[in-house]
Amino acid sequence: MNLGEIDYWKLIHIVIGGLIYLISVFFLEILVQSITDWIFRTMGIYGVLAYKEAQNAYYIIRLGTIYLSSGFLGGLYTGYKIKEKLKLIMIFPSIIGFLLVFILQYFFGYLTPAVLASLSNSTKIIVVPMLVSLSGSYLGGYTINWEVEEVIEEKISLLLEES
Amino acid sequence: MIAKLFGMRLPLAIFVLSVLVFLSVGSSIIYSTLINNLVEDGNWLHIKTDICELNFPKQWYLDKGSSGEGNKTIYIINLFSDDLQTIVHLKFYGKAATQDFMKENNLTDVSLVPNFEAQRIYNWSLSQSGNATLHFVEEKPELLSFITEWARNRGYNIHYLLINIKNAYEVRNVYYNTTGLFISLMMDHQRLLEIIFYGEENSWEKNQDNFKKVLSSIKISEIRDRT
Repeated sequence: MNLGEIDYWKLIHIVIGGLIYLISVFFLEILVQSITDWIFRTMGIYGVLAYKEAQNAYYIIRLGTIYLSSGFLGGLYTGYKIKEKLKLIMIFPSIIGFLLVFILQYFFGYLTPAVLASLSNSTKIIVVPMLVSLSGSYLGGYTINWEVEEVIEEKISLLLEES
Repeated sequence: MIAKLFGMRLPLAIFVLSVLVFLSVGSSIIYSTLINNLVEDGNWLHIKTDICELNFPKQWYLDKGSSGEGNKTIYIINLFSDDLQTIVHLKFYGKAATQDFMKENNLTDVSLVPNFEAQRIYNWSLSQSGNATLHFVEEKPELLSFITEWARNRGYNIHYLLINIKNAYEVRNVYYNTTGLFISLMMDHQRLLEIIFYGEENSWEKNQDNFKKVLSSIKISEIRDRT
């Protein structure tokens, strides 16, 4: 396997990681929305979402459950397939995935230039979810490659058994 | 270096903890917001907006916003019943917005506004269901006297219209009737306030008491035109 071939496959795995992120965002978005809706209706507290504080709180919940988790899943796949230069590689799955999500939302009219015009809106819609996704991606990538000490421990125990 | 936390690989443990932190922080804020705004016997919420403050059932959904360019401000508050079949629509016009609305729709007097809005909704119903028919209702003395009393206590000169649309819309081959109460009044003789209580017939009947309580709780602040 030459160097060019390795890079080509890495690129494919990174893009697949991005696609996993994209699918996860849409799946989790529907799931979280449905669960929240069900909880609020069952408890009869739908009205609380009229308050700015509650809307921000819901935003925080979405960050953790949708963006962090999607980044984690994208990173998990990419980390499983690619073992080197994780610090650099793990940036890409969530960036690619987030860009795809952004383009789709824009294409389907959920995002308009007017919505993104204000600094607070673009921070809330782009910057913060992107950073949270990146964190998730790194956590996913390092989770799958976090076995150095376990391997050493296993080797030591095997050696002890042999002796 | 610690390799594991709670029996999980460290990054996985950090991920799980982070999700839990996001969830618990969000839930705590929602809970405290709920507790801080409960009124009456814990079944109603109190909200203060730019334009007014009011109470509404905690299971209802409230949506608010404003529109208009320059000094043509319109503040809107929509309250949806828990079954999402009935809406209480409050529309506060600024001075310039009132003039624009009246001019654009060829309305010479505020008394014509309820009929105009009722006609607008009926036309929309016709587009949904070809056999929709409009009926003017007068046999709701209790509700109408309540509205009259409410307006008198606040010094408003109100105009209202109660309608019923038969076969207003169709869902899976079943036709539904709707009922609507349209109220208009002019505040300070220059700022229009529209109140529309509209919904599916049965849901509307069921939510009448809630509507009365919402209406009684409204405290309107001064409407300022945007400059």
